[in-house]
Amino acid sequence: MINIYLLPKGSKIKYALGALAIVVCTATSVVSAKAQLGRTFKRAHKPAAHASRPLRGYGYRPSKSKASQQVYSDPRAVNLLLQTFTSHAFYKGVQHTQVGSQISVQNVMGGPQGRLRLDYISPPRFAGDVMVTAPKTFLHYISTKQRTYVTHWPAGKRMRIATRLRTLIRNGKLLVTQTGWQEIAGVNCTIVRIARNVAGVPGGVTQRQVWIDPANGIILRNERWSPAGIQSVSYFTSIDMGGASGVTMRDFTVASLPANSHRQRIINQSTRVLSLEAAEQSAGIHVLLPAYIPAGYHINGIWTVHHGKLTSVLMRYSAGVNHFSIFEHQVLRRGSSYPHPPLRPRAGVQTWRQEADGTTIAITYIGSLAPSDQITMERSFR
Amino acid sequence: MINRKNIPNDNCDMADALLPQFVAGELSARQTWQLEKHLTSCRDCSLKVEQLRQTIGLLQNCTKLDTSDDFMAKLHARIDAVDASAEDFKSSEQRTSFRDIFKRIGSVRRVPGLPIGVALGVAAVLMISLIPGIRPSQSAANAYQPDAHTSTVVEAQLAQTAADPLGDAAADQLVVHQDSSTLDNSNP
Amino acid sequence: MVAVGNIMHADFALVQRAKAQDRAAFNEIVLRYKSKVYNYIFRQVGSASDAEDLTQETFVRAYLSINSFQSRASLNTWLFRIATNLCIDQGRKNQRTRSFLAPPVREDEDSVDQDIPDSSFDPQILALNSELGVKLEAALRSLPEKLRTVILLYDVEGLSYDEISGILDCPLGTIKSRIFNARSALREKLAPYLQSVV
Repeated sequence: MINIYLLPKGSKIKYALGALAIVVCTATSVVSAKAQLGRTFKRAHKPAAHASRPLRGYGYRPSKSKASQQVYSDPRAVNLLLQTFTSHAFYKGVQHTQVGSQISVQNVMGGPQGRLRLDYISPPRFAGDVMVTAPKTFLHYISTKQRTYVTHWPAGKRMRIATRLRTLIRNGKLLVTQTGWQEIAGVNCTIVRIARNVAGVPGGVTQRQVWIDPANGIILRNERWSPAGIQSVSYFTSIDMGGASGVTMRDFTVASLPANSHRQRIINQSTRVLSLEAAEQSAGIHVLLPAYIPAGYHINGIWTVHHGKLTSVLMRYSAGVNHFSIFEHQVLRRGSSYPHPPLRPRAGVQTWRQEADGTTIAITYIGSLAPSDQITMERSFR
Repeated sequence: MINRKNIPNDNCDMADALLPQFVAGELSARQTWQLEKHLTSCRDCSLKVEQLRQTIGLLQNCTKLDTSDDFMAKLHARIDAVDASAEDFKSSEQRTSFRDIFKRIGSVRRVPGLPIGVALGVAAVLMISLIPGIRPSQSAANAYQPDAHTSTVVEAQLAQTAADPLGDAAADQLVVHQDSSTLDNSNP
Repeated sequence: MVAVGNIMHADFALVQRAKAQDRAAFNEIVLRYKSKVYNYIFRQVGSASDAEDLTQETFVRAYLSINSFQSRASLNTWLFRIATNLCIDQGRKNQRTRSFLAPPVREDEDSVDQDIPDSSFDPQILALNSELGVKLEAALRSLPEKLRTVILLYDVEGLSYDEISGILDCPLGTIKSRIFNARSALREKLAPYLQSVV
């Protein structure tokens, strides 16, 4: 769930998508997937050499080695989904976000190449905060601290995320289907469902449902699902698009943030390593591993992350478009207030300490696993 | 799920990371064996290996181009011109003149490093200045941040989500910076 | 190994003579290396006239600084080092000019389209194979400068990790990972054209 800017430049790593929990099979399937075998469709911008051919290779040619289920993605839905990565529209609106009982409201501005700006209105603890996403940067201004966190990543990050998504769809690991239409904030949207293909679960396990404006490729409602149901939802209550929005490129620059804020650059160096041993050597610790991993997840990669004089080991696990991350580093200061192994799961982020080979290791989990999976995994580190 | 030294057989991502070393013949015997095992069962990965090999073949057999016919003549003219100007300065400031030229040559190499060096320096200063500052008294909302490292990791995660149209940074912000008053309720 | 040793020995003798103002010896050095240097620079800058100009500049600088050349380095490496620095400089100049003249490149969607693999055995794709060289050149040009430099030095010019590490003042590990990344990036870019010949 973490991470692109953590990765070495140009690395051919599969980048990640969102942040929710996934578990597996017991899910209620929400909508049945419609097989759209053999349907052809045209791509918006084709190179001339391909012009007369239908595009192949999306959902309807899943890898033969993963034979299990004869369910396929809908090429129209896939196409629409990929449009959200290349949208050029400017827009401005008000968005509500809900996670459990917590709600936030933001003024949202959007622009080309995934530019996005959230100005928080509520809750009070976020009011005045601003998050800006631009093609190479993420800025997070926290008004109470007068601080702007700055994260840089290599150009082309969104492209890699799109490539990763396309690969998962092509391999038949994700199922993308169109499930209906609905008006959101006065805009007619197509509902697209993204599910992880799980043997024995017809239609797969829903991971996302997004409401896409087919005219502009803007997502107006984004639902993140776990097998238990909706985990979070964000949706527009009003939106203006194009010139009417009054949004300009300047709204997505650091110049548009309060000038007096202190800027802090986030984690700036990381290296993908090929073995646990290499990571251990680099970080100078014996890495602890969870003996229990929630079903469907597998390790996606191991990185060493350098932060000041500290080197952490980052292990990333993924299932479909969902991910969680484990960071481990040596506790350098005696008396650091890391708690002992957790008794209860803390949603989102949890840090604790464990002894290994005579050193104290701080372990940080970041993710959105179901509480039972999270605590079982956290307590299984050996 | 992860075994030390093991490549899970269905893990194309890990195989993907090993392919360059595999093609370059730099994997250990064990890793090679494991990757080959994966390749036999994975069409996508074996296609990648084949493509990688072809790409390297293409590179190593690039068309060789040649310089224009008057290359040598032009070069000598340039060298003569440089020599002549060097002669002019010889009597007065020969040493300086050559030193300048060497400096120019040297600076071509050094300049690219300079802004990066400055940037790293600034970043390092910021990092150092941050470490004592981050620890203390955050509001109840952000209280669960044991150290600067965790704090940056959390910010990094928000950034990660933000770059993805299917991510939802606003939802992540609520998840990672939960209101502490709701924490106890959410974790019975 | 013998051949390499001989070349280095011959180079060493030539350099000694060139240091003693022997223009014929310097001439011999140019004749020996101009094609290598030109090919490398051409693939870096993508324009024949710029490449020729920079190749000449490489040798002018070599001529002027031949006395500073340390005999324990190889002449090959030294020339590539000068050429690389010139290319980086030129790239930076071009970038500055371009940013004033041209609208910003839309980095994302163009590459998204290029990226879509298509594993068909279509005759149209087969026809493109004759143009593979052209595609390769284009793909090389589209790589970031750092990746392009290592891949040209390693795969095209056949330098060793050690030599490249010396040229770029970079640790060996960095060089290796750049080579791997560059190969992977090229493979991805060329995938639509390669698959048909599998």
